[in-house]
Amino acid sequence: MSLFEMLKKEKILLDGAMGSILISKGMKMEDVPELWNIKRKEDIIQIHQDYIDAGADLVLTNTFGGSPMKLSEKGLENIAEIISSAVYNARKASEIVVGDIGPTGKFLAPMGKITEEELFVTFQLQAKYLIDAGVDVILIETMYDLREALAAVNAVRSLNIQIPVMATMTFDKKKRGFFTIMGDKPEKCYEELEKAGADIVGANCTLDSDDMLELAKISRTLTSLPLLFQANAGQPEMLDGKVHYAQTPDHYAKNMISILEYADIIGGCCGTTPAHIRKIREMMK
Amino acid sequence: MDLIDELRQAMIDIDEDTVDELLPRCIEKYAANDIIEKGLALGIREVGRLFEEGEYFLPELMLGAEIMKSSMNILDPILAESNISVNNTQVVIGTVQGDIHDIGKTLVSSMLTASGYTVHDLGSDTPADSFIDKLKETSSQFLCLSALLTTTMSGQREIIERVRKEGLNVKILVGGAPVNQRWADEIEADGYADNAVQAVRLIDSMVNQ
Repeated sequence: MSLFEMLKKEKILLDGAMGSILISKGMKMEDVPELWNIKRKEDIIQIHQDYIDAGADLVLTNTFGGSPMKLSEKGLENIAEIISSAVYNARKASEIVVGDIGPTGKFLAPMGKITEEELFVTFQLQAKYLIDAGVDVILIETMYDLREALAAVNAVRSLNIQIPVMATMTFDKKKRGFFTIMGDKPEKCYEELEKAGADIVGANCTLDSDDMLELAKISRTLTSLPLLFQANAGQPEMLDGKVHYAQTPDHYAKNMISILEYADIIGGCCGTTPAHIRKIREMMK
Repeated sequence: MDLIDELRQAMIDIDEDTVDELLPRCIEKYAANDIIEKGLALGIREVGRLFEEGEYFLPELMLGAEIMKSSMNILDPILAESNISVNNTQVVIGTVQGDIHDIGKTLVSSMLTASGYTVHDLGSDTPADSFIDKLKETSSQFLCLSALLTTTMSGQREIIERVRKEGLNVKILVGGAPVNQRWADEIEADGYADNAVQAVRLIDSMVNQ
């Protein structure tokens, strides 16, 4: 079944965080998470499987930082192999696989020196590798600069392949409302992402589930596209030398269920675990 | 409106062309320290306030700091000639080892420079030794440590321990997305700032203590 066919029938639940679980499985700060798709294949498949067992409808590939720009900086050249392994691992657990594309971490002017053309080229290659390896959906997420998000959507669409594209921005809550760190409002983001060819828009990261619920409510009035939200389970804090996120599965799931009144797809971002996804699934029933 | 008032307003409006046009005219008419204190510095402080209020965003703050820096490059030699004492507080800043994130640190660095501090920016992924060496070499009074990842925050603790062990007389400030006051207290930093504007304010207040 395709994503659009699923959407006609029901609300969709994505998986939760990958990075924080990799860290709990011993990933070091100098490790490249995407390399685990090859070196720690069984662990990655297990994480995907844990999310499916918890009730996720589909999973995201472990390719958030998998842009050629980012990976080649780490001295990696086998980018196609890394990405196809990631898709293989996700496919082992899930019938529908979402190819994940995160930001490059570089900044456009005036903050940095990267150009939109360079971003387009790297995203085009990442999207091509993901699609060649058989992903069913592309998710462009955690975008803090609308221009970078648009470069990514344009890059996927330039491949001329019919594939659902979801694009989510990262917003901060300010006195005057929700804005990206660059100052773009949700309405502008949704409108321009739609124009570029995104089928589903929304937000992920930074906001916890309380704030994300507020954003979801507002967002429903701003676009007619299906909406996707993935909230953080609070903000990361160090407790006894360990990273801790404050929102419990119960609290988080309650908010995410409320978000479903306004959204079509939900999932977990930083700090969420299979326990969070399981709780949401229980409450969706 | 006075020329200096116009200059201040152009700074607040992040209007680079007008600042460039007004600055030479101000220099003909006013003392350099007045141009800074009544014009540019007040302007950049207002830019910072607007950023904190959520009226301005990263690009405005960054551009504002850049305009300030290029204006100061023109004014510094004049200040030096006229023997006016300038802010001689020095700051060493960098993102800790293992963390390549640059932008928050660069903003703090730019805003400090714009506020008249001499800043030694060691970039990102900076080993503890480099911080120590630079502090010794420059006798800087402040050290700012940035970490964006929960996995690299502990690097801040290690560097603070090293600096204390070396017996260096330096105030240490920490910042970065996962960092908060509680973490700063736990690792015994001298201060924490949530953003670049607050970082400047914090150092200002510590200098004036």
